[in-house]
Amino acid sequence: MTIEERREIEKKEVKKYLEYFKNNKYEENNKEAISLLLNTLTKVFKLELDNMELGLKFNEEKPYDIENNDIGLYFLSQGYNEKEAKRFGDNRRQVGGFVCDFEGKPHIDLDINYLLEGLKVEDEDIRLENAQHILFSLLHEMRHYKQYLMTRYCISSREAMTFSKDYAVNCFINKFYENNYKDSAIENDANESASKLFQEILGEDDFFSQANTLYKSKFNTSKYRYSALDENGKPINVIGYKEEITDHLVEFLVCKEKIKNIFDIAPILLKEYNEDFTRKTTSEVISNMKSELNFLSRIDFLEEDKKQKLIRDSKEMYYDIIFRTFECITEEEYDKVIREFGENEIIELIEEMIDSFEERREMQLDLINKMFRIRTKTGNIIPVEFASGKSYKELLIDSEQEKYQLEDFYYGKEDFLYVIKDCICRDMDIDEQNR
Amino acid sequence: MTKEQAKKNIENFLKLQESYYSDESEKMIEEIYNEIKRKKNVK
Repeated sequence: MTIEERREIEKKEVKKYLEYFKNNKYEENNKEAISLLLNTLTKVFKLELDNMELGLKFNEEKPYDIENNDIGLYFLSQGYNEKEAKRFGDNRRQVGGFVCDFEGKPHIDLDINYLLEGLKVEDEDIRLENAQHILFSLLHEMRHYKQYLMTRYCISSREAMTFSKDYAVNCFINKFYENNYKDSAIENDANESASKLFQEILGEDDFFSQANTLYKSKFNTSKYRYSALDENGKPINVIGYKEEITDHLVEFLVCKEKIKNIFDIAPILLKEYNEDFTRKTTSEVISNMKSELNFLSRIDFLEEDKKQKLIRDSKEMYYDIIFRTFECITEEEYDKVIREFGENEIIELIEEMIDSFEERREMQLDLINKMFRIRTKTGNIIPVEFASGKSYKELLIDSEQEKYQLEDFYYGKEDFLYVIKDCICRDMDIDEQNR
Repeated sequence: MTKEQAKKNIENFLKLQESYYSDESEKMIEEIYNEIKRKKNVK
C-alpha cells in the first residue's frame, strides 16, 4: 500500500470518528462509542507507523503486546494523569505521553478516562474540538517516537543532537523538563509535525498551517532556564538559548557526574564525548568530521540533493562541537591542531563555521520577528520589536480589546498579557524571580 | 558499524526527516536562509 492509499483510509476513519462525536456525546459505558474511539486511534497509529516505511512491527489486534510490537499503544484507565499532576506539581491533565525508559521498548500511553471526559461535553463544537485534540495528541506523541528513532541511528545532524541532548537533560536534571515544557525543543517539534499531519488528514486548515509555522519558529529560537548555585553558593537562574543550556548541562552530566547510561539514552553524544567521560579533543573531532564527510561524499545509493543535505547536516553538527572544543582549547592543543591539519585548513574551517553561525543567528532573529509580529483581531498590524524599546504602554492600550492575536494565535486579555510579558522578559533575559 | 548498517541507518534517518521536513515551515526556513545569503552577496 502507498502512503497516499493509507492516507485515504486514514481520512475516512477520522471523518467517521469526528462525525460520530459531533453528533453524539459520550454516555457512560456506551461500548459503541468506546470501541469507535479506540479503533480509530489504533488504526491511525498503525497507518502512521506504516507510513514511516521502516518495517516497524505493530499488531492492531494486540496493541499492548510489547514483546512482539516495536512500540506499544496503551490505553490506561487510571493513573496516567495522577502521575502527571504530581510530576508537574499542578493540576495538569493531558491526553497521554510517550514513555521510554531506554531499557525496554517504548510505548505511548493514553488516558482513556480523560479522553472520554472530553467527549461527554454537551456543546457539539467543543466536543468536536476535543475529539480533534485527541487525534492531534496521538500524532504529537508519535512524533516523540520518531525523535527517539532519529537519535538511535547516530546520523550526524544538529536536530538529532538537539533531541538527544534534550532527552539526556530531561532524564537527569531534576524538573528541567517540567520547568521548560513550553519551550522544549522536543515538544515544539512534536507540535509542529502533528500540526502538519493533522492538516494532511483533515484537509487544509489555516489555523494548523499557521500553528505549524509558529512551532517551527519556537523550535529554532526558544530559550531554556534552570536554577543553579553561583560561586558563593547563592541560587541563580540561568537563561540562554536552548543549545547553550543543554550543551553546558550535558557536559556537566558526562564529565562531572559521569552518568553511566547517558550514552545509552543519547548514543550520538559519543560524537562529542568519549566513553571514559572525557570530551573529545579538537583534533579528534576534526578528524572524525573529515572522515565522515569523506564517507558521505562517496555515497552512491542516494540522489545528489539528499547527499548534500546529509553533508550539510553533518557539518552543522560538527561545527557546533568544534566550536565548543575551541572554547576550552589550550595553546599546546591548538599548536597540535595546526601541525596536524595545517594553518590554512584551520583558518578555512573557522571561516566556514563563522559563516554558518552568522546565518543561523540571522535566521533566528528573522524567526523571532515573524513570531512576535502582533496584530489585533481586526487586522491592525502592530509590529513589535521587543528589544528595540517599543513601550509596554502601547501594548496595554491595544489590549483593551477583547481578543488578541499573536502570530495567528488568539488569546484572552490575561493570557495575551502573560505571553507578551514572557516574551519581553525573555528577550531582555529577565529571570522569572525578577519579573 | 558495518557499511550495510550505516547505509540502512542513513536511509531510515532520511525517511524520518523527509516525512516531516518538506512542509511549509521548512520552506520558510529555506527562504530565510536564501534571503540571508542574497543580502550577503549584495554587500
